[in-house]
Amino acid sequence: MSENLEVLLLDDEPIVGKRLKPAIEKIGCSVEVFENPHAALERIDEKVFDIVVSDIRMDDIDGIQVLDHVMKRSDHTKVILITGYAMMSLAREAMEKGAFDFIAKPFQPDDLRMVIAKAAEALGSSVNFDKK
Amino acid sequence: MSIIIISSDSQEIESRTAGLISESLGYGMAARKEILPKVAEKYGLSADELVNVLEKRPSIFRSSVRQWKLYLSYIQEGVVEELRRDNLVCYGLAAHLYVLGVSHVLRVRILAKEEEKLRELTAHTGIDMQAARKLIDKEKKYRSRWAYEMYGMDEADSSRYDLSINLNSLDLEDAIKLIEETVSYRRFKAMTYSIRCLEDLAIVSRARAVLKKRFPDVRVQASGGRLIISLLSLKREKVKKTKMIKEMTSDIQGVDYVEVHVFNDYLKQAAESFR
Repeated sequence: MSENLEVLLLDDEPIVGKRLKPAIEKIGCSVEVFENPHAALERIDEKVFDIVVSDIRMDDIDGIQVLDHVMKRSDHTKVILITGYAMMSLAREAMEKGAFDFIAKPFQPDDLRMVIAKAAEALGSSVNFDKK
Repeated sequence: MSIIIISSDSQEIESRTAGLISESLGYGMAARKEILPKVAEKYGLSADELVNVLEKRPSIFRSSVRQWKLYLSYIQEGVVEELRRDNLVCYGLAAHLYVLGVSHVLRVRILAKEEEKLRELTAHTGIDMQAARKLIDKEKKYRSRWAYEMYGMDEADSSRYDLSINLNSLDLEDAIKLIEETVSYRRFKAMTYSIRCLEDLAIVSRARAVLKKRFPDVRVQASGGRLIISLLSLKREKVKKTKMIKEMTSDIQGVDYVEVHVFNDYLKQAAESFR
């Protein structure tokens, strides 16, 4: 694992990536942002990320499909799903399929940073909250 | 990190199952003896009064439905507060009727063995089998009416549970194994979303306990730290009630912002205009 945690962030709303990228970088992660799920899956095939943060509701490919794809590709990667349409059944499905965590929008950048910190811990790494 | 809520048509099976699971998984217990004394002390009531509310229906001779619902809101507040601790088995507090939509809560319904219930009843009361059967049917209907009156739900509806077990077909030992296996599934693990759902429910429960006495028909929702309260009222009382509700709820733990929606009570308004 490289020194910085490698994070892929996928959300079809540009504002989400724009807002969350600097928030995650502040705790010492390297972040690649995607708005197109196809492009994100191609990148996941090329590189093993430590953490994938993906929106669920997107055109063509949804977050659960992204989760399935990542799970087949690598058991190292922790997948965090985010959605503005959270429901108990969807949350349970995501967890059963191997999601590391499931977050309902709207949330504060700190909420995501906390989950990333937990994911880092599960990977045997850590993030630096002092850099916030 | 999960919560298991056990409900059954037999109180004895409920407590026996919960005890065995708690012992085997090392989970804490949220039951009447843990919760009701705390709730009773907080609101200056006796624990027996609260047990009565959980078991009996209100009647014109005892008390009103409003008072019953007020006491139930106190119990709910105490129960949900306790459930925030996680890794718990909860029973005997009607939690299966109000802890809804929290994905790390496994809701289990256990249907007791008919023969066993009859045997126990005849042994305890000395009545014959036929009378015992009638009594069991009567209690079942009574309980069903209680759940419907208090929460508008049919508690025997199996679609309300994650797992329904019929002890006429399985031994209790097998049922325990089944529950333990089910709760070990990842889908019942706590996650950021489910923890937030439980926090929202805790805020709603606290607000209801505060408001129900003064505003019995109030509707309460919470999202994040936002508390949303809706009620019907006469137009001229709108400002006064909004102010009062905001004052009553703004100090509630976890609340950052209170939103009050007062809708015009046309029925009351019409009734007043005929006076």
